Amino acid sequence: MEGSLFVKSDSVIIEDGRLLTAEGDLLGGYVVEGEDLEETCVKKAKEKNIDIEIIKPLSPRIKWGADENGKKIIMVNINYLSKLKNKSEKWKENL
Amino acid sequence: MEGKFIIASGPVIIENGKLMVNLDDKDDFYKLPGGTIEEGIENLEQACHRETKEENNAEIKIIKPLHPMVLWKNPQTSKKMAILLIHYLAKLKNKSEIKAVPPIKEVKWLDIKEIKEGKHYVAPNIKFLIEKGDIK
Repeated sequence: MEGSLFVKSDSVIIEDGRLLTAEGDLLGGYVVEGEDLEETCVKKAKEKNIDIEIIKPLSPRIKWGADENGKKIIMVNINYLSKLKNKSEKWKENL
Repeated sequence: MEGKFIIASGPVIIENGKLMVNLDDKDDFYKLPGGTIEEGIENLEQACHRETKEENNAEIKIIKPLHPMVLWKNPQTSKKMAILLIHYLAKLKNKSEIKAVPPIKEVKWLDIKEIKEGKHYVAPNIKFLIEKGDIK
């Protein structure tokens, strides 16, 4: 396959029936070349000052699309059930 | 990521401490069943079902997702490319009917203990899944 592949590695953190989101999205981000999927997930959370521990992989998802020039775009979402390692009182308030 | 890439989806099928693997005409190591997704028309689980049916005549039931893996170069050619491997724990629904469908040359049940002892030449993702505890 050729085109643009975007792989996003996100953590799914649920506490007390609530899902942790950052700016309306799951905590995580795009995997860059050479990086490991879990490494990205942990690193992206850390960039937001959140330490996480990955528990297990969840179902991944693929989406197909094209840009305005018809160039193929493939997006794969990799998701990991995770938990907070440093849940401060501040975070607790936000949950 | 721009350029060439592969997205493949396959099942991890374990029975009685043995892992179901294939040997094809491309590589000299044992690999999991499964293969590349059909562009734009199927999702990752559908690809897993279809490829396993094509390669082994196997009907499977997907139980849960296992650790996915990304490689940044082709393990055979060392050529730079992204290879995304999606794995699912699955069980066979028609064990008595499985077979090697060409280009698969052989379907085999490898003892997991022997794989861990290095007695079999297996694909990098099988080693990865053992490290992750998904194959045990």
